[in-house]
Amino acid sequence: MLSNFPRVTYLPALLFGSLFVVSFFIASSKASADAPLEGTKPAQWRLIWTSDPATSATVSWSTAQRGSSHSVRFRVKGNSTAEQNAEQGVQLADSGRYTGGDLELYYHHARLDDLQPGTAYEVQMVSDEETSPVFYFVTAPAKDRVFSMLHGGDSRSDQSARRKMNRVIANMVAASFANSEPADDLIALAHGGDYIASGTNLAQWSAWMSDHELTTTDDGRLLPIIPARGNHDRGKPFNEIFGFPTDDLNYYAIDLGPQVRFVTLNTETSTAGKQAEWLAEELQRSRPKRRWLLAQYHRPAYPAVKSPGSALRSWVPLFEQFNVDLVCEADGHNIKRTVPIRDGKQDETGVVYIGEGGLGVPQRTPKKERWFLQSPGMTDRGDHVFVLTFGPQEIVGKCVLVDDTVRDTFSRPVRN
Amino acid sequence: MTDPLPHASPSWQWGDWVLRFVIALQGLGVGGRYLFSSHETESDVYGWLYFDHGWPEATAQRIDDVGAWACCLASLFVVLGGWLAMPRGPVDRSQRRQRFGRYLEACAAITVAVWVLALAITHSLRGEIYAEWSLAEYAVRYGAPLSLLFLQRDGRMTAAATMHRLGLGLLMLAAAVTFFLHGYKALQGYGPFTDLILLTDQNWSDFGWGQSFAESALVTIGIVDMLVAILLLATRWRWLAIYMAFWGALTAVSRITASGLSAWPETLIRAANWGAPLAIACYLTYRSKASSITIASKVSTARSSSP
Repeated sequence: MLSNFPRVTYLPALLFGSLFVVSFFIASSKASADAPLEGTKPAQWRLIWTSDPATSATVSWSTAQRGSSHSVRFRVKGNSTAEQNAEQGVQLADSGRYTGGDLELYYHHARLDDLQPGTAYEVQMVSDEETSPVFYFVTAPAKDRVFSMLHGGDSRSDQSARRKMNRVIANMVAASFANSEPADDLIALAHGGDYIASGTNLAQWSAWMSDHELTTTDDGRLLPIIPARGNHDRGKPFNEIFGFPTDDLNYYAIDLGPQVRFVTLNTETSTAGKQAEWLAEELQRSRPKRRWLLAQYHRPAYPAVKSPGSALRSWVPLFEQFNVDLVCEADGHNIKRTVPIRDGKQDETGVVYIGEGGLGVPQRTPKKERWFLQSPGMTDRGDHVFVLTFGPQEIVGKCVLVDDTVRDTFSRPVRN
Repeated sequence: MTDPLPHASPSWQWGDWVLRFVIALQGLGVGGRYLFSSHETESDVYGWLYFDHGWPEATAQRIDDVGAWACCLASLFVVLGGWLAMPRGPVDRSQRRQRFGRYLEACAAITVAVWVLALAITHSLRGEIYAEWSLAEYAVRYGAPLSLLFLQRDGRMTAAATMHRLGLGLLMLAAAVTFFLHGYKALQGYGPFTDLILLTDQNWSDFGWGQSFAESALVTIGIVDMLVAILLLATRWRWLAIYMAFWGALTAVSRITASGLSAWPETLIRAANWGAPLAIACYLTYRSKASSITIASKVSTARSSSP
């Protein structure tokens, strides 16, 4: 049909065609080492905070077979007398089969309520006759005290780096409680989304959940995760993995102590409608009562490599109106901390945006020329996690690289 | 009796030129998004090579830049080629120029089509929401330059007519598929579409539309889009194409009305969403006139040959 065309016309097509053919042949499925899942033996344990973390938590795990009875035994840690043992609770789990491909895997979520704030609880998952090791977790404090948390994102495309980062996190958590200094106590990990590459692929989720076990410390401490949905986390599995109701839209706010309000938003649904209305109400209600107001979501409003998401129009005006103290973003695969921003300009009274994701993903070269990344802001690349310490007068933030070096330190003063 | 020569028809020429400008605008949009806007970023080709297949970042970046630059250059050459290919002056002297113009135009169109197709394929492989529909959703973006290859052919009448039918068919199919997919996403209440409505209202009209209103509107929009796409293929009625052009332009511009002027590449990159239907309307106008002429001619011949 194109026989009348000279050879020069074919050249671009041939070049590009060759590129794709070669690339398709080079493509190979990623190796993933799922943790052993046998019968109804509990595996892929995780502790999730999506409602009041001072008094509730969701203990979740997976089994390879459906089983018939799934529950969590729990008690206050350290209770060992017969009388105290009698106070042990049992919470039945909501169970079901994960969607997302041929892999057969079952989720179990035990929702623990009416817990005591700032208290360590031992938990053991029970599926039929099989039991998990005994773990423990600590509920969020009820009194105003100094503490720290982690924020990171994007753990989707480099399993080796993801596992390494998870081990780093476990070591950081263990070290933070190994001393008597409360300020460095890491009470939770906020994950900004893009856990895996394809949100409907259960095999990838399974690998992520197994890898997440590595955030558990050697003495069995479970690190609570505060999940946000990323653009790669589409489909039903996300809600099944983190224990959200089936059609939940994944925006919520929780108290990490009486003075820290942590808002999780969802950039993968409408940002301007009901979510923005909810955010406005939430910030208006929380700002007068809390010293620290933070938000996390996936797609950046002030990106270091990409174009801005709709959060720039939908949420940034609200962040500025209600003087949010710090905003945690992900998605870009790099490290960034913006200058304080108000009305699209650098302003000391403005909002600082950090993050962009490095929990196990190749890093992009950031676009250092963007105005909001100029000094005193910064940008770089490298697997990393942010440590945020909430003091009475300031939030101190540190960007810790996978080799445990600190790449960036900053502080945000309390707003008067 | 054969069809009249298409390139002599103003409506056909308008169609060709609309397509050329669409390809040019789209090429500039690709350049804007991936090279020189204030929020320039990397494409899914880069992401696919670097993240999914472990290519060195510099190589992936270079390939990405080459693709975007190629589209920018192609946007110039497709217009230049079209201009050179225009018949004017003594036939003998202009033949070489015309042929060169067509080759230039074809190269430019292939370049844009291949790169936009590459963007669609790599996007479809990258696991985002509705990514699996990217090839269909972007159909008009690579379909428009591909169809130009067929539509700008001349030469022997019968061969050219076949090419034109193929080109118009391809263009209509591509425009309809894209329209249908957008309709489907609207029907599903795709969040970013809701935001286009709400943010546009927030920035401009301030009617205070809520999410429920926007989602209800999207259901209607989605059904209309899907129906129009099917009807265009079934009826080839040019007013449907004109409606699609109007609606495609409105939705392309909504990127700017919702996100501000800095979103100009997003509007340009969607030039084919309105440009292809507009070109279709021009071609269908020609075919309608040609058909009338042919019928009139047949009637006239029949009358003159009757005793």
